[in-house]
Amino acid sequence: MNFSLFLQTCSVLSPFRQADLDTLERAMSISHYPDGHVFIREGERGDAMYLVIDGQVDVVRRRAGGSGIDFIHSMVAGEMFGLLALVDQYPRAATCTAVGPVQAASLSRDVFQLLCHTSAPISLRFQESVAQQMMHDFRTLHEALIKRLAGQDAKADALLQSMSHEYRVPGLLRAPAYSI
Amino acid sequence: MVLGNSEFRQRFGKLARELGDASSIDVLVRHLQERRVAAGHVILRQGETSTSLYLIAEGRLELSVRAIDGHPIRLGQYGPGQWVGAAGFIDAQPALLDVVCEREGTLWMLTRDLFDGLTSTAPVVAGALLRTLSLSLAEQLRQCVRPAYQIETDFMKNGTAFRTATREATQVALLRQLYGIEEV
Repeated sequence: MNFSLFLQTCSVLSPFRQADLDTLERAMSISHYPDGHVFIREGERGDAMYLVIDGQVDVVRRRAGGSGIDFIHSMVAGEMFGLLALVDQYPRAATCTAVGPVQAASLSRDVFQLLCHTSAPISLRFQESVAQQMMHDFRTLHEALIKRLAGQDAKADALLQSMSHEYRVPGLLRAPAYSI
Repeated sequence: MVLGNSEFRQRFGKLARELGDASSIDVLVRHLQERRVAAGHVILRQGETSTSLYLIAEGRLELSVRAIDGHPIRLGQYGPGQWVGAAGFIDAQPALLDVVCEREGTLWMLTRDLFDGLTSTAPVVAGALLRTLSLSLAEQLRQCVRPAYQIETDFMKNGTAFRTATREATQVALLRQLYGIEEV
């Protein structure tokens, strides 16, 4: 696998220029993880960002105010998770676990901070990437609420499916108990 | 009028803290343009593209959204220290809300063109601004997503009639959470 080419195909890295991607490639480390490996645990502070190269990573979240967990999303090659953990100290909103063997590239918080101190442009690209991801989620949630308001629940659900797992609300995604 | 360093710190504390030192604040302030707005002046119109960010120094801005059937829904107001226009500023897509001046005041405008210049000449300052906007968006998303769980639980418990009867109130309440508006 050519990791450099792989990075170019990741949509979340679209604000990055080639020179930034080259730096990023050198800063990330590629590892193999066994089935069941927990990358990020809900409620804990994240200390790295991951990019799935091969395999599947499931995202689950504890159900609010009760027992049990909600399945949120399965991530596949090209999807990145934990990016927000690098810029935001908030506890992680979900647990990410390997389903079968997974190959992923990681960037630790320490290496990320070192990168940001030595390269302001790289830091800026990350901020641009995060801002665009957040705004995509913000717009999606806004539009979904407007659709809900008009009773267009199926359209609202479809929109909510495209949000980042950090802000997906399983409760809102359940099949509506009514139809208009 | 020129926006001084200490006045900027006083009015826009969160942003000033991210920017850190006085020289970074000076760099940003030099890129801001003053806009006096009178009551009734339209700052953003839903569906139209505007890529400028407006920091509110004085006055009150009224935020409302037009529903799919066209009826306007008043969400509330923003005042000094808050900002509008972040959506178009970040992604150049159409405005989500109508924003109209309710009480005359002063806005400091940062155009996307001037910001793009900052990304090359002062990437640290540009990064700090984006980080402030992102953290604020993250907080607003959390504020909205958390009560959404409770609302869904209430729907499940109380049935279809309750759900239909409370639809507008609950969705508007969630929209207010999304925009960080506590009450009207």
